[in-house]
Parts: sequence; C-alpha cells; structure tokens
Amino acid sequence: MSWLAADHLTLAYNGQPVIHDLSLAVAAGEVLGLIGPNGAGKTTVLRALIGQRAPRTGSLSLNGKNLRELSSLTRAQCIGLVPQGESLAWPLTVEEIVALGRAAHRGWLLPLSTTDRDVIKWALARTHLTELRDRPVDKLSGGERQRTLIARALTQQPSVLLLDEPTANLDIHHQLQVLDLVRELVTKGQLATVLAIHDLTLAARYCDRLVLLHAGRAIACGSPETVLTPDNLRTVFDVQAELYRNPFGQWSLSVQSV
Amino acid sequence: MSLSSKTPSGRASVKIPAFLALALALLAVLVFSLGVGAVPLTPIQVLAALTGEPTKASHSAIVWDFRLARVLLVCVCGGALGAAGAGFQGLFRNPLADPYIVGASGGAALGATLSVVFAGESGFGVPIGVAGFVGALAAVFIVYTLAETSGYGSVAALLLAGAAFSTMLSAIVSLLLLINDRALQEVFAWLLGGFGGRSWPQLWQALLIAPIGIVALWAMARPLDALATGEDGAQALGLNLRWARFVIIAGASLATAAAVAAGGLIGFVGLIAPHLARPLFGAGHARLIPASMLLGALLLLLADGLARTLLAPIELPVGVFTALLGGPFFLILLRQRGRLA
Repeated sequence: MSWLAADHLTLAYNGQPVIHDLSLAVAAGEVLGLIGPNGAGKTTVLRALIGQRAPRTGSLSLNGKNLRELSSLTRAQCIGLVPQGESLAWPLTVEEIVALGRAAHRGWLLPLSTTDRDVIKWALARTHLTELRDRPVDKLSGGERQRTLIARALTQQPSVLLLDEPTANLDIHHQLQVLDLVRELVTKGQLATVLAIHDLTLAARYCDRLVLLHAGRAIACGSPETVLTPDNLRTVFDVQAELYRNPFGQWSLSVQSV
Repeated sequence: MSLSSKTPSGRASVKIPAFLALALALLAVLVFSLGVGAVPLTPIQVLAALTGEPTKASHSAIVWDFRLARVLLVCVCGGALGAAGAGFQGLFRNPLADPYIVGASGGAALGATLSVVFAGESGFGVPIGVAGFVGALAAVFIVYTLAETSGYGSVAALLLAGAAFSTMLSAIVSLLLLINDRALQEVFAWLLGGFGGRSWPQLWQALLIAPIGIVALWAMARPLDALATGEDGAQALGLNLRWARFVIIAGASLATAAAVAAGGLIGFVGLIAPHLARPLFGAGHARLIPASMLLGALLLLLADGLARTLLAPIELPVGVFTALLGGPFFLILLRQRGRLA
C-alpha cells in the first residue's frame, strides 16, 4: 500500500521541462531517497510532491486521492515538509516555529488548544528541543535548526514526511544525529518518507530504496545496491565508485575520479 | 507532570510584566501630557480633575473639554500606526515596510487635495479627514487588485504596484496644488500631520474604525509568523496565501486610514514601533502586534507633547517631529544592531 505516489510526472520550471516521466511510490514506514547531482531536479520533485507545483502531465496521489484537488490545509494535515535552508525574516523562538505546524489541524485563527500544546510538547521532546524552546532561531546551531524544522513537521502529525537535504551544512556528527532521528521517527510513526540527499553513503545507509535522477530522468530505482552500481555512478557522477559493506556491516562507498 | 503544571500556559506569561510596565509608562505619559498646555497642570491636578474632584473648577473643563479627547486620539492613532507597521513588516518580511507601503499615503493626499480644491470651488465638500480616509482605502484597494490579478500574485507585486501607484498619485497631487495655489497651504498643513483642534467627534470616529483593524491584525498573528518562513513555506504549512494577504492588508489599511483621517500623514511611528518592540517582546506576532500598538501610542504621545510645547503657543505639525526624532533614532538603531531585525 503506497501513501504517496507520482505517476508519469513531467514537471516544468519557468516553462522549461525539468523532470521527465517520473514515477515513484512510497509506502508507510519506508524511506525513499532522491539522489543525483546538483541541478538534477531533487528539490523540484519535492515541491511537486507537496502539491505546490502543478505537474505539466501525470498525476500525484495521496492515499488514493488526487493530491492537487486537496485544499492546502488538508495537504498540510497529511504531508510535513522539512525544507532546505529556510530563512526566517524575524528571529521567532523554537516553540513559535514548531507551533506553526498545528495550524494544519487547528486552523489559523483559534488559539491553540490543550491538545495542540501537548502535541507541541511531544514534538519538542522527540527532537530533544525542550530545553531550547524559548531560544530565538538566530541563536541556534545548524543541527538545532534542522531539528526545529523536523519538530514542526511532526506537529502536523502527517502520514508523509518530505525532507529536502536535511544534512546540508551539518557536520558529520549532526548529519548522523539528524538521520538517526528521522529513521526512528519513520519507523515508530509509520511515516512514508521521501528524502532528497546528495551524500550517497548516507543515502545508502538510511534509505530503503533510492531513485537516481540524472538530467531530469530517473535512470535507476530500487534498493541501494541495485541503484548505486559502478555503471550508474560512472554515468551520472562521472566517478569510479564501488559500494561495499564496511566492518560495521554498513554501506560505504569508495570513490575516485575517472 | 509537576514540572509541566508549573508553567501551564507557558512562556507567553514571561512577558506579562513587560507589558504591564509598558502600559504603566503609557498611562504616566498620558497623565503628564494632559498637564501640558497654556495652563500647565501638575499630574496630581490632572488626576484630581479626571476623578471628578478638581482642585479648581476650571481644571475640569481644561482636562475634559480641551485636552482629554485629543490626547486619547493621539494614543489611538499612534497605536493604529504601530500595529499596522508591524502587520505590513510581517506581510512583506521587510523591516523597512511602513503603514503607507501599499499606497495609503498617495491616496490620502489625493483625497485630501481633491476635497480642498472642490470645496473651494463649489462651496460644498467633505471634511478633509474623511476625504483622506476614503482616498487611502481606495488607493490600497486598487493596488491590491492590480497586484492580485497581475499573474505575479505575490507580495513582490504588491510592493511594486504600491510604489508605482503612490508615486503616480503624488504627481497628480503636485499638479493639482500647482494649479490651485490657494489649496496648497491647507493641504500641506494637513499632510504634515497634527492633532490641533481635534476633539471628541474625531476620537469617536477613530475608535469606531481603528480597533477593527488592530484586532484583525492581532488575530492574524500566526499567519504572520508563518509568513516569516516565506510564501512557499507558509503555504506548505497550510496557509491560504490569498486569504492571508487580504485580511492583513485590510486590517492594516483600516487602522492606517483611521489614523490618517484623524491626524493626517504621520510618518515614522509605524516604522519604528515594531523595531522597538522586537528586542523587548520577541518577534512572535501574538506579542509583537499589541507591543507595537502600545509603543506606537507612547511615541506619538511624546511627539505630540513636543509639538505642542516647543514653540508654544504655536503648535508645530506632529509629523515633522516624528520624522525629526524618528529619522536619527532609526539610524542609531541601524548602527547598533548591524541589521534591521
């Protein structure tokens, strides 16, 4: 059973087609990784998957319903987005940002209810932000910022989670911390998750399946070992690379230029 | 559980002492302001007159008939401009936005000019404040409609349309004033802003309209917070952008137009009040809107006091003071904080 599905999607940006004939589906509890070089269209696909960009052709469905026909509020109840490099105009506090996710359920005008407050408290605790809830966002580290955005998506209580480069600009420790958190949330909450990520090793370790985008087309789709083959990596990234199990039993990638 | 029940409604309460302090400061300045004028009164004499036990019978008349309505009107207008400034800055994600950013000033000026020119020619006309009010709202409505139907459909279109339309209206005003030089002085004096001669009728009018705008903006606090993440971000959180833009612009423009009708075009209050409020009360709009309102009232009350006393008995236009004091103040703020946030 797939929660979010794209069927023969063609997407255009400023009139130029950027994604051609893309089909993908994500099931509950599964992490699908979108990989590919910069400019391959990963962010464009995510923007389409939350229903903000109308596809030129093809269809998007959310649990069997046409995504484009749902209201923005209904979509926000089902899909939580963790955007990349979100810049805030004003230094709101962690809690103020996280609380914004509740509008999907509470609406924008009514004061937050006790239930809303409990969900916010829960989301802050799950992302280890309870202590930092009163801190303005401009006083946060990159990892704390990322966790704030994840917490906000959690308060939407979505069935689908979309993350755009959640490890960008994080050091290696925080990259692993954020992805461990995502993996744990996905498994426990049975979230259907799409993750755009450019680090191939992390993609192999944390995603159940991968879609490899190249020049707007999906040239491979499937488990990490079937997608990250030496041939595919040479075609797309122009590198000589091999995926192998390291001594910890995790996927690693050895890379050298051709 | 014991920990969480300690602060049930949470951190919002932390700012309550700050709000109380600000409200008290406003009341103190208000009482002081009531004592300022041709017959100076001490704060105690003012309080005595207010509570109905004046030390002299004439004090009661001075406070109630001549000063109270005007001083309260100044508070309402300053509050309306402060809240509107916070609303527009939030909508545009721009710290330089002010209450007149979507064309209210140009429209108000044109409305006022037309009323003076036509009243002069036909001997029949609408009060200049009413004409300014109608002009401001009409201009905002035109700018809003142009922007929403422009295909851009974003706040960028609003900014551009507002700037272009306002400039165009100002040009028409200049032209009209050149042709009718009789009207020049009256219109110019009104445009500079001031509360000379205003009394209870103007206060009731302002109280009828300004609170609607301020309450609408306050109700939109969370949409304004969401807009801080950008239009795409706010939409992903489920915000209907068209609806949010409409309510915020309508609320802020009603508040602005109410202030314009009462006091003319008073600059800088709406720009500065939110900048003062953010470091003190935080950037979240649930607190920023009321804080900007109180600070706007406080600022305009101070400026009006100066305008009345500096060259007494001549009363200077309060708009000149808000600009004279606000300009340098804004530059200092800019220098100290390094950035406008």
